[in-house]
Amino acid sequence: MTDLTSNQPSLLRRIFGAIVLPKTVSAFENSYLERMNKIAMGFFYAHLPIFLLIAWLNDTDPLLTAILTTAVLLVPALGSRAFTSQRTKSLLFGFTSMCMGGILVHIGQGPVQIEMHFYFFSVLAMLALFANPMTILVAAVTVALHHLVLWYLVPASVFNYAAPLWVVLVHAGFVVLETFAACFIARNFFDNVIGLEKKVEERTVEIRRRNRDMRLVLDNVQQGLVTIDRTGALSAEHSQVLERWFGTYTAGEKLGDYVGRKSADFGTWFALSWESVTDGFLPLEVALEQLPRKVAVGNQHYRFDYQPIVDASGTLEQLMVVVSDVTKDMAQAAAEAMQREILAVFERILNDRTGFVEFYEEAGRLLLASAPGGEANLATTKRHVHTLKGNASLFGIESVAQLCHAYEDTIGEGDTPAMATAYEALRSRWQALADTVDRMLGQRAQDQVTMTGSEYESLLRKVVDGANHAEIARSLAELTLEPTEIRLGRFAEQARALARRLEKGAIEVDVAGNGVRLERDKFAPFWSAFAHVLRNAVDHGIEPPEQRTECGKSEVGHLRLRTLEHGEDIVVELSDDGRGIDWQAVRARAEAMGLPHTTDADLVDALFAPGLSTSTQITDTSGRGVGLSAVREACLALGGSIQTKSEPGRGTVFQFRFPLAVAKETTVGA
Amino acid sequence: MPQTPELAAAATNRLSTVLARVLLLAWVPCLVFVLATLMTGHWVTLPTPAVGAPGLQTAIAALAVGEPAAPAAWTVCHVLYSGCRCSRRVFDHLQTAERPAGVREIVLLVGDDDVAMQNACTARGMRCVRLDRDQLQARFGIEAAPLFVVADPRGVPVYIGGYTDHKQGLDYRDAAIVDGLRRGDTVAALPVYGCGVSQPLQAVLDPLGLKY
Repeated sequence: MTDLTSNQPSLLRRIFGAIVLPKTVSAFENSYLERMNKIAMGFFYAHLPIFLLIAWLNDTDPLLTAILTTAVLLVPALGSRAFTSQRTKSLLFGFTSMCMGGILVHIGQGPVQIEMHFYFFSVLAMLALFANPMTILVAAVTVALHHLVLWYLVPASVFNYAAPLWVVLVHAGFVVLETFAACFIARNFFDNVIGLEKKVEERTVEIRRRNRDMRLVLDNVQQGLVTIDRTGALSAEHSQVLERWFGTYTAGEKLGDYVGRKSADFGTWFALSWESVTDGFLPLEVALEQLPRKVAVGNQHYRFDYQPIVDASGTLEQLMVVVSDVTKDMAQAAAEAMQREILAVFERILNDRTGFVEFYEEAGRLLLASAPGGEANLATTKRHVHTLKGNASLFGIESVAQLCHAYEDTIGEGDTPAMATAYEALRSRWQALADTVDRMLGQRAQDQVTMTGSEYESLLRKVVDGANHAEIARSLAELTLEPTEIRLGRFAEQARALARRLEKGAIEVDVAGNGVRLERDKFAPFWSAFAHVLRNAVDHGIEPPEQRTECGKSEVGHLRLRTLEHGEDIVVELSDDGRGIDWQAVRARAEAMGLPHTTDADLVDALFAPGLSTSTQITDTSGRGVGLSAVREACLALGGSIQTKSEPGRGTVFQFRFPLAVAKETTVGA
Repeated sequence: MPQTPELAAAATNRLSTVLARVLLLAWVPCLVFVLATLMTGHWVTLPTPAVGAPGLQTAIAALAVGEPAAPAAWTVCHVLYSGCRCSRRVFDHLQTAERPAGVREIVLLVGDDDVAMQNACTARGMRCVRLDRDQLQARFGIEAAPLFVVADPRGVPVYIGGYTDHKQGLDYRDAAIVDGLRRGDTVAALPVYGCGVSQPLQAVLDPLGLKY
């Protein structure tokens, strides 16, 4: 059944396709044919003297031989003038060769005349060198025409030896067979040698086109794309945007050096971590994780992603590096984070306006006091910043806490441009926050007086019972003081939130204000610094739930916050049931810092010394050894004292004692 | 409009290209035709008079008059054309090959007066009769050469044909043919390849006059 849908070309079309070469002539083919045409021309010109010699030896009219040979040679000579295409010129040699064969047969009369016919078969085969079946076909057609003319002139001459028709057909069959074979050879020669070059050229053109397309992509893609080899050297191909971001690109330069021109930290980090990628000690995925992922150049931020290109054995051959400009993403993320913070602040204000206002005002004061080049020394500045960081963190303003952390990193190096830059970043962020917070707070009611129901009942009873005016006045005056119950409650809430963030699980916090009130403004720095003690208790004191279980403790950590009047003192106490203070570590650190460390009192003093921390890691929560020194300074500023009791595995108690006269100076004086 | 040298050169170049193509177009078929005419005479089997052609027996018999051989001898007649390479090769063969004994050999030589050929024939015991192509056609009815004619002792032609099995072959069969005929065998005539001698035949075989 005929397949009507078949796209197979017909036999005739296939034969035509095999005989006729593609129109396009490659430079290589043209050059080859030019050379071949010259050789052929020389070859056929050489026929003239040889034919003359044969004619002379054979007594077959040398003059006629000279004339005829020259007449035939005129054909390629005219062809070289008539055509520019080397392929067309080569076709004429098919005709020329057959004519030369005719002359040779004529002049080679005698017993060898029949042998002269081998010339035709030899030359037909030689024509395959032109790599063009058409040249051979021209020769075959010439022979056919010759026989047609013979037949026309003297029909019997075609049937020589009085041969029958089938003999003539056998004769023609051999010619056709050789023509077919020669055409086949010529076409294969073209396809596999001459045309191969053309195919290579076509493919090269295609590759160039693709390269051009790829270049277009690389020139316009808004991502940095490049590969590096095992030495970390950049490949030549890269997206154009890299040069806009990181400057002039030089193939072979190390990626670390290239980006390092804009960010030295990146360069150093990359150089160090690249060694671990190539030395093969770490699993590749792990080693790649060590490579720097972010870099900031001016106000621009870039993210680096790495895609390994490995061989069959999994060995890294190249690394594809994709660089993305994440400036907008980061700005958006920062804006979203700020929005979240604003919402958190708004919630705080709704829940505990007084507490937030206090934090806000205290934070503003600390920020001003922390400015580089200010009156405070570096240690004090560091304490201020640390306190601000802690409080900001407790109030959920993480952006400020992070900028405080960054600022802290620069303070140890003195008054440097880096410090100024970090402070400016912190100040700007705070100012942006303040603009919003100020609108939220509106008119601050600082002259409000807050009292609990029991306080109201107590005061009312004094009036009804006819208490003297001085006592009633003192009670009324005390209402202007801040009840510690509220503040401790605020700390409790912050402690729980911090515990969740530090994965300490849910903790229990007991609060007992015991009716104690303290002067708000006077104690504001203390409460601000007290936050450090609270955070230390959660971060270092309370163990993770699983660790507590192993120690035979309740899974839930426990904190107690209380204030009380004790004799002539006001006591602020924080206790936890955590792991306790590692006094050995304190001793070791004190010794290392040159501090007294022989007695228990020495160790307690050392605990509150600036810079002493038993933590081996600095986090954004603690670890710098600043917090306790800050709280001690604030405590001492109020004429207070600190008592510390800690037992390994059982917990720690911090007691801050303030003279009653100082704590309630306003009311006592009243 | 003035023509720049470049334009003039380009026009000349175009003209010469067109002329070359036209010339080539004419030249190629001419060559095909010329070479075909050149080949025609080589491949065609030349005509011979029939054995019983009228006048041929008389002409052959007339050649025997005055011959030294016995009247009852066989007559062998070689028709050669001095301008024909094939005839020359036959002549060379006659000069070198052993001749059959007891036969009368006559060379009918057409063409230019070649004294050397005549002398050579005489030296080999062959009588050389020189005549022109018109006489050959008129008296013998022969138009092509080389032609081999054998007549029996009565003067009756019994063989008229070529010398070799193949065109311009090396194996001359003349002696064998004579022997066979003398034994009474029937001998088929071999084809004649060579040259046209008569003017009409030459006009057919060589219309351009390149060979004759």
